[in-house]
Amino acid sequence: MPIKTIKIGKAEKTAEAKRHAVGRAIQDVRLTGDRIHVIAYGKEQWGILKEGAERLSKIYDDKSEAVSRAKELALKKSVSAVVLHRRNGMPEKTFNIKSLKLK
Amino acid sequence: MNDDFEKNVFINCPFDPEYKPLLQALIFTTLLCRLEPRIAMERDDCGEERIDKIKELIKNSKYSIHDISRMEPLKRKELPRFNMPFELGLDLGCRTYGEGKLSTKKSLILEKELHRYRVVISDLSGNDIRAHNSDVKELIRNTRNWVYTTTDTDLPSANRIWRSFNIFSSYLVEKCREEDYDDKDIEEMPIKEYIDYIIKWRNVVENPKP
Repeated sequence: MPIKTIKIGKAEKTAEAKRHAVGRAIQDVRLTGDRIHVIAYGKEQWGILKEGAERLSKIYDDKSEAVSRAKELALKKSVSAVVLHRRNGMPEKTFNIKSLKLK
Repeated sequence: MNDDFEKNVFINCPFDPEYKPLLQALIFTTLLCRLEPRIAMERDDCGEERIDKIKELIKNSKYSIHDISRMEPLKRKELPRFNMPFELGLDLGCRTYGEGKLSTKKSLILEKELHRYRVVISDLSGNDIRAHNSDVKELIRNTRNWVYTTTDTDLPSANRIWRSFNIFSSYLVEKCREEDYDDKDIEEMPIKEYIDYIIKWRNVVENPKP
């Protein structure tokens, strides 16, 4: 996915406008990695997030279902790894694409 | 570390292992919101008294985030921790009695549960305290919304910061493994190093190579 950069133009030279421009720049940052993450969503659900994607691709009630789907996607889209996260955001386990192909 | 009063945010929160993911999310969010987290653990000088360090951080920070969740003991027969409410008091005192820029200080007070503090610190009953329920995403949302309201800066959504926090956390482990850190090295990484990694990651994400 292309990465958008926001330039601060002449019209935005006041301190406040610069602050806002910086904020927009952060908002438009796109991550360029090629891994797929299974992350917590809401109180109990799980979502699949591909690095560089704008939003979660799908939401699941069950983590193991989300993990299976993420692995399928990884094989289809040739990403480098699937990373499972805990509900607190910390990484729990990483499946390398090579190990997925061997199964 | 930054000496810019207008950008510094003093972070006063628990340092126990259970709180660690919340602390990391708090630091990550403040950095993504373009503030500079200042924390007692950022320096490790045995010759410096802790309270002097804290007083200096409070004096040099326009913003402060206090998490008073540890008004409860973590285990039975343990005593609660009073450092956080004490440092909150110092900060509020600095704002009340300080002159000039010190009177412009702004604070966010976080707690695990919404109304529990009224029992143990009833003097804060008139303050607007936010509860995170020990949920990392809730803490990110509370912090981001407070920064937005207080600084009037355009910010990414809490949801986006949460997703970035997940991705960054896995990046950190991967990067550390590449650099031959073992589990204990990662677990006991100094706060200053953690902050440096976030800044490096943020720079890479925001200034990608063509």
